[in-house]
Amino acid sequence: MNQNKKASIFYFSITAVSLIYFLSAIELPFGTFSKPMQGFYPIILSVIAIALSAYNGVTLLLKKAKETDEQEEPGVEFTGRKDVLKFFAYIGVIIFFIVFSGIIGAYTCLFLLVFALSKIQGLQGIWKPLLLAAGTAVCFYLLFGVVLEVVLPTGFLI
Amino acid sequence: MIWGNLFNAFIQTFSQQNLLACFIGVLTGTVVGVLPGIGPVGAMALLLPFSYGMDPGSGLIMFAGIYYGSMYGGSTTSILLNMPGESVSVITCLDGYKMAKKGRAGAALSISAIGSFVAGTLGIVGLMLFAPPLARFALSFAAPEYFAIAVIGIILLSNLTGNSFLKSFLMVIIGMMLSSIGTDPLTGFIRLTFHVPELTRGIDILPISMGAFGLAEVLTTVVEPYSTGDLIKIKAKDLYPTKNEMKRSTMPILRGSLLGFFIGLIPGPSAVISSLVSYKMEKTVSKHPEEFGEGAIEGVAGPESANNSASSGAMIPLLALGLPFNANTAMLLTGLMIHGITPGPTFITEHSDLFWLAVASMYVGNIMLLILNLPLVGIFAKLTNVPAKILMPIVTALMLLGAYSVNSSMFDVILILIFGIAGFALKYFKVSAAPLVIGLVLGSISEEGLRQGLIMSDGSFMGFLTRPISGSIFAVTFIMLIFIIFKNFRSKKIVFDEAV
Repeated sequence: MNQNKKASIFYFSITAVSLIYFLSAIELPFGTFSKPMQGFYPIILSVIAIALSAYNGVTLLLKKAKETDEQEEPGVEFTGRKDVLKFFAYIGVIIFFIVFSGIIGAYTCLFLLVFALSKIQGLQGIWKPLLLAAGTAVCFYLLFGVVLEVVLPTGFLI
Repeated sequence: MIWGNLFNAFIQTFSQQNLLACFIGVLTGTVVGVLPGIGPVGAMALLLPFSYGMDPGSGLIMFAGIYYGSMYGGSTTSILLNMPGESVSVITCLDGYKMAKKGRAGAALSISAIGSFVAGTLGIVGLMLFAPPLARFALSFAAPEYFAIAVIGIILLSNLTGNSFLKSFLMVIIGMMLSSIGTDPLTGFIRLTFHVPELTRGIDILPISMGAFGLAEVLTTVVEPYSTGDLIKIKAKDLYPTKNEMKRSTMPILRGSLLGFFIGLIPGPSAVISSLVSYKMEKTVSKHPEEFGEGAIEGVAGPESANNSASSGAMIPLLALGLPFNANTAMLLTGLMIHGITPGPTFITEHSDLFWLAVASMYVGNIMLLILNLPLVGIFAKLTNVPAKILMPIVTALMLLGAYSVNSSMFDVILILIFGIAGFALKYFKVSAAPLVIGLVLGSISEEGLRQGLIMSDGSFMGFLTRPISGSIFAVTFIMLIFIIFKNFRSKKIVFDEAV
């Protein structure tokens, strides 16, 4: 799938989200122009968003595969399947942290998070990631738990 | 009156807590500026939770320090590694790195630091002189004026950010839609929560900023790890510029300061724009234009001064009008509001101590930056040797815990993840995320302005056009829109003609 088609899917996704927003907004009272109510601004904004995102999506869909805008913002590219896997693994580890912090304990999850993320980023061996994870967990315990007195989720471990 | 206020503010600035806050801010800003990845917005978002224990003045001092500190830091890697730490320092790579390769790295770094110091100081003088009268003028503003300023801000921002007006405008609209979630600003009615109880308090700028600017950058390094180039070594005896280099730098520094300050007033990435415009201007007026791109000292002095001065200029609409026109000042606004301070026309009158404290701390901060950046430049440059595989997991952990600590809620961590993925998607599809953040801030301001204005004028839009100030602003906005449409039409016609 060429870049323009991928981008058009992205914009149509924004159209879909804006449509959901619009359907929620029309349940609110619109009011009148002399007395605009809670739904006034959200409805106007969502209509503009639907129109703009659909326009961008259609424009990109109709462009040829190699046609791009001049002077584009610097972007990011996946160079291979390995990059895609690393990307989703990184997100998966963060989801693990969110889900299991309240079950295992935030600092234990933090240790596992840093260990896993450093391995995904390419840190070789076992001892370096373990030391990094342990050091980070201790420092953050001192910072958040002791200095800032922030109560993080606890579980059957710390 | 000004000098009396400033003197009192200087006394307060030299308190232990405020000096420490200033030092932490400028040091963090410099480090953030040196390291690719996390920018000043991400850094401010990271430090926001830690500022809760500080008083508002110290918090403001710290965040402002991060903002202008990052302008200093970005030039270090531009000159020594040909790798800009921040987008504002891209231009410095052109001549700064070439100077370094000729053995003049120290001179380039010194001129960059001196120019930034002079420009920052002049910018602060401008802030001191312009902000109070603008604030007094803005006391006459009502809802239509605020709506008009929000509209012109949105149009300018959409035009100046990214390559496509419509794409940037769409991002602003999305940001404004997100700002509508939660509590209606006029009636207090809870709306658009999608049956998620945590959304009754709305979507904070913090998780969006941390996600779109912080986590998105971290995810980028997973896919495209940054590599460090060969660090050019500096000898102590070569640290300072020659008399000729100082002489050639003087006028570019002064021109850059003036230019950057006024460009800083306009919405959008003013620091980046000011450095670009300054470079072009210096090349045009230079007696040695052929040296540009090959190591011209003017190509470093002008742009570095301009971007520092722009950061002071950008503070004026924030403090005097309460309107942030770029992501950095939007974070500053969030920091202030968390401490119960709302910048705007009454900020300078009702919290004049805070305003003058901020001004005084900026003077002190600039001196600290000059002291830090000259002798410690080698140490800062070595920070780039810390590999992403060690740094990024730590930054990720800090972001997640920092977000949790704001409201002791895992929901904010979920939001960081969602907006981090969204921010990465925006980068993948080459769309800037900055308009999203600005839209989030301007959304509530523009909604209040529009709805209150319509109520005042009994539903007639003429009420916005017949008032002198709002009418003038809308007239300028209309002219700008015509210009933007004409420019886009002309560029499409040129492409079509060339294709034919």
